[in-house]
Amino acid sequence: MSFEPILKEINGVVGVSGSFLCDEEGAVVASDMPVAYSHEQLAAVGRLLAQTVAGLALARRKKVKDIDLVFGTGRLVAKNTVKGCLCILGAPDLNVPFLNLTADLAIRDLKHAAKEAPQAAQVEPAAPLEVPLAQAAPAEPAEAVPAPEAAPRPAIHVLIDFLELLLTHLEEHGIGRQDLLKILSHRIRRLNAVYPFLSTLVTPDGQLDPASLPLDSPDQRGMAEGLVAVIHGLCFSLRGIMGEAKAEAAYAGVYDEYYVNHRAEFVSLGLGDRLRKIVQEPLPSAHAGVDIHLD
Amino acid sequence: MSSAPDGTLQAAVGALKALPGVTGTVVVARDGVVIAHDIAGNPEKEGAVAVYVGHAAAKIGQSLSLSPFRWAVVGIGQETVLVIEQQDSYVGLFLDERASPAMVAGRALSALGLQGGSA
Repeated sequence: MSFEPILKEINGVVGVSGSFLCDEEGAVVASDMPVAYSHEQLAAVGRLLAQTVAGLALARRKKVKDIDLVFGTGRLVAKNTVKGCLCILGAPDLNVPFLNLTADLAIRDLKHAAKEAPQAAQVEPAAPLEVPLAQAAPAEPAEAVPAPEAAPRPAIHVLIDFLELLLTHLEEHGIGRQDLLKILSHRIRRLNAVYPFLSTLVTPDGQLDPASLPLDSPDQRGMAEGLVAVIHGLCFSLRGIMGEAKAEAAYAGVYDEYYVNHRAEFVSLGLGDRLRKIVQEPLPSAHAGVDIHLD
Repeated sequence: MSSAPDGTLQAAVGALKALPGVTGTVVVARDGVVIAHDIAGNPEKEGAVAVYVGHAAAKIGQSLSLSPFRWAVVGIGQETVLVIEQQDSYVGLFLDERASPAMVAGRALSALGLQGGSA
Protein backbone atom coordinates (compact mmCIF):
# COMPACT_ATOMS: atom_id res chain seq x y z
CA MET A 1 0.00 0.00 0.00
CA SER A 2 1.39 3.44 -0.87
CA PHE A 3 0.81 6.60 1.09
CA GLU A 4 -0.99 8.45 -1.68
CA PRO A 5 -4.41 6.78 -1.40
CA ILE A 6 -4.34 7.35 2.35
CA LEU A 7 -3.64 11.04 1.93
CA LYS A 8 -6.37 11.28 -0.68
CA GLU A 9 -8.80 9.72 1.76
CA ILE A 10 -7.93 12.37 4.34
CA ASN A 11 -8.34 15.06 1.71
CA GLY A 12 -11.87 13.81 1.14
CA VAL A 13 -12.95 15.06 4.56
CA VAL A 14 -15.09 18.19 4.34
CA GLY A 15 -12.95 21.28 4.85
CA VAL A 16 -9.61 19.60 4.14
CA SER A 17 -7.63 20.99 1.22
CA GLY A 18 -4.46 18.92 1.41
CA SER A 19 -2.19 16.76 3.51
CA PHE A 20 1.39 15.65 3.66
CA LEU A 21 3.51 13.27 5.67
CA CYS A 22 6.87 14.10 7.27
CA ASP A 23 9.40 11.82 8.87
CA GLU A 24 10.82 12.47 12.34
CA GLU A 25 13.48 14.76 10.87
CA GLY A 26 10.78 16.82 9.16
CA ALA A 27 11.58 15.67 5.62
CA VAL A 28 8.49 15.35 3.41
CA VAL A 29 7.85 11.68 2.72
CA ALA A 30 4.61 12.00 0.75
CA SER A 31 2.34 14.82 -0.20
CA ASP A 32 -1.05 15.52 -1.67
CA MET A 33 -1.17 19.27 -1.22
CA PRO A 34 -2.53 22.02 -3.47
CA VAL A 35 -0.04 22.82 -6.24
CA ALA A 36 0.30 26.34 -4.87
CA TYR A 37 2.59 24.98 -2.17
CA SER A 38 6.13 24.15 -3.21
CA HIS A 39 8.21 21.35 -1.83
CA GLU A 40 10.42 23.92 -0.11
CA GLN A 41 7.47 25.42 1.72
CA LEU A 42 6.32 22.01 2.92
CA ALA A 43 9.84 20.98 3.90
CA ALA A 44 10.19 24.15 5.97
CA VAL A 45 6.92 23.41 7.73
CA GLY A 46 7.93 19.79 8.26
CA ARG A 47 11.22 20.79 9.86
CA LEU A 48 9.51 23.33 12.10
CA LEU A 49 6.96 20.82 13.26
CA ALA A 50 9.58 18.14 13.85
CA GLN A 51 11.66 20.58 15.90
CA THR A 52 8.61 21.73 17.83
CA VAL A 53 7.42 18.22 18.62
CA ALA A 54 10.93 17.15 19.64
CA GLY A 55 11.44 20.28 21.74
CA LEU A 56 8.14 19.92 23.55
CA ALA A 57 8.67 16.22 24.17
CA LEU A 58 12.15 16.88 25.53
CA ALA A 59 11.02 19.77 27.71
CA ARG A 60 8.01 18.00 29.15
CA ARG A 61 9.15 14.37 28.95
CA LYS A 62 5.75 13.51 27.62
CA LYS A 63 4.45 12.48 24.26
CA VAL A 64 3.23 15.32 22.10
CA LYS A 65 -0.08 14.41 20.50
CA ASP A 66 -1.73 16.74 18.02
CA ILE A 67 -0.83 20.33 17.26
CA ASP A 68 -3.72 22.35 15.89
CA LEU A 69 -2.77 25.74 14.46
CA VAL A 70 -5.62 28.09 13.56
CA PHE A 71 -4.97 31.05 11.29
CA GLY A 72 -7.19 33.68 9.73
CA THR A 73 -7.23 31.93 6.37
CA GLY A 74 -6.61 28.31 7.19
CA ARG A 75 -5.83 25.64 9.72
CA LEU A 76 -3.01 23.15 10.00
CA VAL A 77 -3.50 20.04 12.10
CA ALA A 78 -0.32 18.07 12.75
CA LYS A 79 -0.81 14.60 14.13
CA ASN A 80 2.13 12.86 15.73
CA THR A 81 2.62 9.47 14.10
CA VAL A 82 5.58 8.65 16.39
CA LYS A 83 7.80 8.26 13.33
CA GLY A 84 6.90 11.72 12.10
CA CYS A 85 3.92 13.97 11.51
CA LEU A 86 0.81 13.78 9.41
CA CYS A 87 0.00 17.38 8.47
CA ILE A 88 -3.50 18.28 7.35
CA LEU A 89 -4.38 21.67 5.88
CA GLY A 90 -7.94 22.88 5.95
CA ALA A 91 -10.35 25.73 6.44
CA PRO A 92 -10.22 27.71 9.72
CA ASP A 93 -13.56 26.20 10.76
CA LEU A 94 -12.46 22.64 9.99
CA ASN A 95 -14.32 20.16 12.18
CA VAL A 96 -11.36 18.58 13.93
CA PRO A 97 -13.22 15.86 15.87
CA PHE A 98 -14.80 14.78 12.58
CA LEU A 99 -11.41 14.92 10.86
CA ASN A 100 -9.91 12.78 13.63
CA LEU A 101 -12.28 9.93 12.81
CA THR A 102 -10.63 9.64 9.41
CA ALA A 103 -7.14 10.79 10.35
CA ASP A 104 -6.69 8.33 13.20
CA LEU A 105 -7.56 5.45 10.89
CA ALA A 106 -5.26 6.93 8.28
CA ILE A 107 -2.37 7.00 10.72
CA ARG A 108 -2.89 3.33 11.40
CA ASP A 109 -2.86 2.66 7.65
CA LEU A 110 0.22 4.83 7.19
CA LYS A 111 2.05 2.80 9.81
CA HIS A 112 1.06 -0.41 8.03
CA ALA A 113 2.17 1.05 4.71
CA ALA A 114 5.51 2.10 6.17
CA LYS A 115 6.08 -1.39 7.58
CA GLU A 116 5.13 -3.10 4.33
CA ALA A 117 7.49 -1.03 2.23
CA PRO A 118 10.04 0.80 4.34
CA GLN A 119 12.29 1.31 1.33
CA ALA A 120 9.42 2.47 -0.82
CA ALA A 121 8.71 5.12 1.78
CA GLN A 122 12.04 6.68 0.95
CA VAL A 123 11.28 6.95 -2.74
CA GLU A 124 7.57 7.69 -2.37
CA PRO A 125 8.03 11.25 -3.63
CA ALA A 126 8.73 9.83 -7.06
CA ALA A 127 5.15 8.61 -7.18
CA PRO A 128 2.81 10.77 -9.29
CA LEU A 129 1.77 13.11 -6.52
CA GLU A 130 0.69 16.68 -7.08
CA VAL A 131 3.95 17.95 -5.67
CA PRO A 132 6.87 16.32 -7.51
CA LEU A 133 9.09 16.19 -4.49
CA ALA A 134 12.13 14.63 -6.07
CA GLN A 135 12.27 17.34 -8.71
CA ALA A 136 11.21 20.25 -6.57
CA ALA A 137 14.09 20.29 -4.17
CA PRO A 138 17.23 21.25 -6.03
CA ALA A 139 18.56 23.08 -3.00
CA GLU A 140 18.21 20.05 -0.78
CA PRO A 141 19.46 17.00 -2.65
CA ALA A 142 19.78 15.10 0.60
CA GLU A 143 15.99 15.02 0.82
CA ALA A 144 15.32 14.36 -2.85
CA VAL A 145 17.76 11.45 -2.90
CA PRO A 146 17.85 10.32 0.70
CA ALA A 147 21.27 9.51 2.00
CA PRO A 148 21.63 6.31 3.98
CA GLU A 149 19.97 6.86 7.32
CA ALA A 150 22.00 7.18 10.46
CA ALA A 151 22.16 4.00 12.49
CA PRO A 152 18.70 3.29 13.89
CA ARG A 153 18.21 4.06 17.51
CA PRO A 154 18.75 0.89 19.54
CA ALA A 155 15.53 -0.54 20.93
CA ILE A 156 17.16 -0.73 24.34
CA HIS A 157 17.11 3.07 24.51
CA VAL A 158 13.34 2.88 24.62
CA LEU A 159 13.64 1.29 28.05
CA ILE A 160 15.94 4.04 29.30
CA ASP A 161 13.55 6.67 27.97
CA PHE A 162 10.74 4.86 29.75
CA LEU A 163 12.69 4.85 33.00
CA GLU A 164 13.42 8.57 32.62
CA LEU A 165 9.77 9.27 31.86
CA LEU A 166 8.80 7.31 34.95
CA LEU A 167 11.21 9.32 37.09
CA THR A 168 9.84 12.60 35.73
CA HIS A 169 6.28 11.47 36.38
CA LEU A 170 7.18 10.45 39.91
CA GLU A 171 8.74 13.85 40.50
CA GLU A 172 5.37 15.32 39.58
CA HIS A 173 3.93 13.10 42.32
CA GLY A 174 6.19 14.86 44.80
CA ILE A 175 9.09 12.41 45.05
CA GLY A 176 12.34 14.33 44.72
CA ARG A 177 14.80 13.52 41.98
CA GLN A 178 17.55 12.91 44.51
CA ASP A 179 15.41 10.40 46.38
CA LEU A 180 14.60 8.63 43.13
CA LEU A 181 18.28 8.50 42.23
CA LYS A 182 19.06 7.07 45.65
CA ILE A 183 16.55 4.31 45.01
CA LEU A 184 17.98 3.62 41.57
CA SER A 185 21.54 3.51 42.86
CA HIS A 186 20.49 1.17 45.65
CA ARG A 187 18.79 -1.13 43.16
CA ILE A 188 21.74 -1.06 40.77
CA ARG A 189 24.13 -1.98 43.58
CA ARG A 190 21.91 -4.94 44.45
CA LEU A 191 21.94 -6.05 40.83
CA ASN A 192 25.63 -5.49 40.24
CA ALA A 193 26.63 -9.14 40.43
CA VAL A 194 24.13 -10.14 37.75
CA TYR A 195 24.10 -7.00 35.59
CA PRO A 196 27.45 -5.23 36.08
CA PHE A 197 26.91 -3.03 33.00
CA LEU A 198 24.29 -1.08 34.97
CA SER A 199 26.91 0.43 37.26
CA THR A 200 27.45 3.46 35.01
CA LEU A 201 23.83 3.98 34.01
CA VAL A 202 23.36 6.94 36.37
CA THR A 203 25.83 9.72 35.69
CA PRO A 204 27.38 11.75 38.52
CA ASP A 205 25.03 14.63 37.70
CA GLY A 206 22.01 12.41 38.12
CA GLN A 207 21.09 11.68 34.51
CA LEU A 208 20.47 8.34 32.86
CA ASP A 209 23.15 7.76 30.25
CA PRO A 210 22.14 5.51 27.33
CA ALA A 211 25.75 5.59 26.09
CA SER A 212 26.81 3.69 29.20
CA LEU A 213 25.24 0.51 27.88
CA PRO A 214 27.43 -1.93 25.94
CA LEU A 215 25.50 -1.55 22.71
CA ASP A 216 27.95 -3.76 20.83
CA SER A 217 26.83 -6.66 22.99
CA PRO A 218 24.91 -9.27 21.01
CA ASP A 219 22.77 -9.91 24.07
CA GLN A 220 20.32 -7.03 23.78
CA ARG A 221 17.65 -9.04 25.51
CA GLY A 222 19.93 -9.72 28.45
CA MET A 223 20.58 -6.00 28.69
CA ALA A 224 16.86 -5.39 28.59
CA GLU A 225 16.39 -7.82 31.47
CA GLY A 226 18.87 -5.79 33.50
CA LEU A 227 16.94 -2.59 32.91
CA VAL A 228 13.68 -4.36 33.65
CA ALA A 229 15.18 -5.50 36.96
CA VAL A 230 16.02 -1.87 37.80
CA ILE A 231 12.49 -0.76 36.91
CA HIS A 232 11.09 -3.63 38.94
CA GLY A 233 13.18 -2.65 41.94
CA LEU A 234 12.15 0.99 41.60
CA CYS A 235 8.49 -0.04 41.50
CA PHE A 236 8.95 -2.19 44.59
CA SER A 237 10.41 0.74 46.50
CA LEU A 238 7.61 3.00 45.28
CA ARG A 239 5.00 0.70 46.71
CA GLY A 240 6.60 1.20 50.09
CA ILE A 241 6.89 4.97 49.69
CA MET A 242 3.60 5.84 47.98
CA GLY A 243 1.41 2.93 48.97
CA GLU A 244 0.40 0.14 46.62
CA ALA A 245 -2.59 1.81 44.98
CA LYS A 246 -0.85 5.10 44.27
CA ALA A 247 2.30 3.42 43.03
CA GLU A 248 0.35 1.19 40.69
CA ALA A 249 -1.70 4.11 39.38
CA ALA A 250 1.39 6.27 38.86
CA TYR A 251 3.18 3.48 37.03
CA ALA A 252 0.21 2.62 34.82
CA GLY A 253 -0.22 6.31 34.02
CA VAL A 254 3.17 6.27 32.35
CA TYR A 255 3.42 2.74 31.08
CA ASP A 256 0.12 2.28 29.26
CA GLU A 257 0.54 5.12 26.80
CA TYR A 258 4.26 4.52 26.41
CA TYR A 259 3.74 0.87 25.57
CA VAL A 260 1.15 1.69 22.92
CA ASN A 261 3.66 3.94 21.20
CA HIS A 262 6.69 1.65 21.56
CA ARG A 263 5.17 -1.78 21.35
CA ALA A 264 7.47 -2.88 18.52
CA GLU A 265 10.60 -2.13 20.54
CA PHE A 266 9.25 -3.89 23.62
CA VAL A 267 8.43 -6.93 21.50
CA SER A 268 11.85 -6.89 19.82
CA LEU A 269 13.48 -6.95 23.24
CA GLY A 270 11.43 -10.01 24.13
CA LEU A 271 9.39 -8.15 26.71
CA GLY A 272 6.00 -7.86 25.07
CA ASP A 273 3.58 -6.37 27.57
CA ARG A 274 5.33 -8.03 30.51
CA LEU A 275 6.15 -4.76 32.23
CA ARG A 276 2.45 -3.92 32.59
CA LYS A 277 2.14 -5.86 35.85
CA ILE A 278 5.66 -5.45 37.12
CA VAL A 279 4.58 -2.92 39.72
CA GLN A 280 2.43 -5.59 41.35
CA GLU A 281 4.96 -8.40 41.34
CA PRO A 282 7.29 -9.50 44.16
CA LEU A 283 11.00 -8.96 43.65
CA PRO A 284 13.09 -11.80 42.28
CA SER A 285 16.09 -13.09 44.19
CA ALA A 286 18.55 -10.87 42.31
CA HIS A 287 17.31 -8.00 44.46
CA ALA A 288 18.00 -9.87 47.70
CA GLY A 289 18.42 -7.64 50.73
CA VAL A 290 16.46 -5.05 52.66
CA ASP A 291 14.77 -2.19 50.88
CA ILE A 292 16.19 1.30 50.93
CA HIS A 293 14.88 3.76 53.50
CA LEU A 294 14.83 7.40 52.55
CA ASP A 295 15.48 10.12 55.08
CA MET B 1 -0.02 31.23 42.96
CA SER B 2 -0.16 34.43 40.95
CA SER B 3 2.45 36.87 39.89
CA ALA B 4 2.13 39.95 37.72
CA PRO B 5 4.03 43.19 37.35
CA ASP B 6 1.00 45.39 36.97
CA GLY B 7 -2.70 45.44 37.69
CA THR B 8 -3.81 45.28 34.06
CA LEU B 9 -1.93 42.09 33.35
CA GLN B 10 -2.97 40.67 36.69
CA ALA B 11 -6.59 41.37 35.82
CA ALA B 12 -6.21 39.76 32.39
CA VAL B 13 -4.63 36.66 33.87
CA GLY B 14 -7.39 36.46 36.46
CA ALA B 15 -10.08 36.88 33.82
CA LEU B 16 -8.61 34.14 31.65
CA LYS B 17 -8.18 31.77 34.57
CA ALA B 18 -11.85 32.32 35.42
CA LEU B 19 -12.99 31.06 32.00
CA PRO B 20 -14.80 27.72 32.19
CA GLY B 21 -12.41 24.90 31.39
CA VAL B 22 -9.23 26.84 32.16
CA THR B 23 -7.08 25.42 34.95
CA GLY B 24 -4.07 27.71 34.63
CA THR B 25 -2.78 30.74 32.77
CA VAL B 26 0.69 31.92 31.91
CA VAL B 27 1.78 35.00 29.96
CA VAL B 28 5.25 34.77 28.47
CA ALA B 29 7.28 37.36 26.59
CA ARG B 30 8.63 36.31 23.21
CA ASP B 31 12.05 35.74 24.75
CA GLY B 32 10.59 33.18 27.14
CA VAL B 33 10.41 35.32 30.27
CA VAL B 34 7.27 34.67 32.28
CA ILE B 35 5.49 37.98 32.77
CA ALA B 36 2.51 36.78 34.76
CA HIS B 37 0.90 33.55 35.71
CA ASP B 38 -1.79 31.91 37.72
CA ILE B 39 -0.79 28.32 37.52
CA ALA B 40 0.15 25.41 39.74
CA GLY B 41 3.60 24.01 39.12
CA ASN B 42 6.57 25.58 37.41
CA PRO B 43 5.48 28.63 35.34
CA GLU B 44 8.75 28.73 33.36
CA LYS B 45 8.32 25.12 32.34
CA GLU B 46 4.67 25.62 31.44
CA GLY B 47 5.37 28.92 29.72
CA ALA B 48 7.98 27.32 27.49
CA VAL B 49 5.21 25.39 25.80
CA ALA B 50 3.44 28.61 24.84
CA VAL B 51 6.62 30.12 23.42
CA TYR B 52 7.58 26.97 21.49
CA VAL B 53 4.16 26.62 19.93
CA GLY B 54 3.68 30.34 19.36
CA HIS B 55 6.99 30.71 17.54
CA ALA B 56 6.33 27.63 15.41
CA ALA B 57 2.82 28.81 14.54
CA ALA B 58 4.08 32.21 13.43
CA LYS B 59 6.74 30.67 11.19
CA ILE B 60 4.40 28.05 9.75
CA GLY B 61 1.79 30.72 9.06
CA GLN B 62 4.39 32.68 7.10
CA SER B 63 5.59 29.61 5.21
CA LEU B 64 2.10 28.62 4.12
CA SER B 65 0.78 32.18 3.77
CA LEU B 66 -1.92 31.50 6.34
CA SER B 67 -1.38 34.45 8.64
CA PRO B 68 -2.62 35.92 10.89
CA PHE B 69 -2.13 33.33 13.59
CA ARG B 70 -5.17 33.18 15.84
CA TRP B 71 -4.68 30.35 18.27
CA ALA B 72 -3.14 26.91 18.66
CA VAL B 73 -3.86 23.84 20.70
CA VAL B 74 -1.30 21.22 21.61
CA GLY B 75 -1.84 17.99 23.50
CA ILE B 76 1.11 16.91 25.64
CA GLY B 77 0.59 13.77 27.63
CA GLN B 78 -2.71 14.28 29.39
CA GLU B 79 -2.52 18.06 29.16
CA THR B 80 -4.10 20.35 26.60
CA VAL B 81 -2.57 23.78 26.16
CA LEU B 82 -4.17 26.62 24.23
CA VAL B 83 -1.78 29.28 22.94
CA ILE B 84 -2.81 32.77 21.87
CA GLU B 85 -0.45 35.33 20.41
CA GLN B 86 -0.46 38.91 21.61
CA GLN B 87 1.54 41.85 20.34
CA ASP B 88 4.59 41.21 22.51
CA SER B 89 3.83 37.96 24.27
CA TYR B 90 2.16 34.57 24.18
CA VAL B 91 -0.66 33.51 26.45
CA GLY B 92 -0.82 29.87 27.46
CA LEU B 93 -4.07 28.50 28.83
CA PHE B 94 -4.06 25.06 30.40
CA LEU B 95 -7.36 23.34 29.80
CA ASP B 96 -9.44 20.91 31.73
CA GLU B 97 -9.65 17.59 29.90
CA ARG B 98 -13.33 18.19 29.16
CA ALA B 99 -12.94 21.74 27.90
CA SER B 100 -13.60 22.59 24.26
CA PRO B 101 -10.47 24.34 22.95
CA ALA B 102 -12.51 26.18 20.32
CA MET B 103 -14.97 27.52 22.87
CA VAL B 104 -12.26 28.53 25.30
CA ALA B 105 -10.29 30.14 22.47
CA GLY B 106 -13.30 32.19 21.44
CA ARG B 107 -13.91 33.39 24.96
CA ALA B 108 -10.24 34.05 25.61
CA LEU B 109 -9.85 36.07 22.42
CA SER B 110 -12.86 38.14 23.45
CA ALA B 111 -11.46 38.60 26.95
CA LEU B 112 -8.17 39.78 25.45
CA GLY B 113 -9.98 42.15 23.12
CA LEU B 114 -8.72 40.32 20.04
CA GLN B 115 -10.65 39.61 16.88
CA GLY B 116 -11.90 36.11 16.19
CA GLY B 117 -13.70 35.70 19.46
CA SER B 118 -16.36 33.63 17.83
CA ALA B 119 -14.01 30.74 17.00
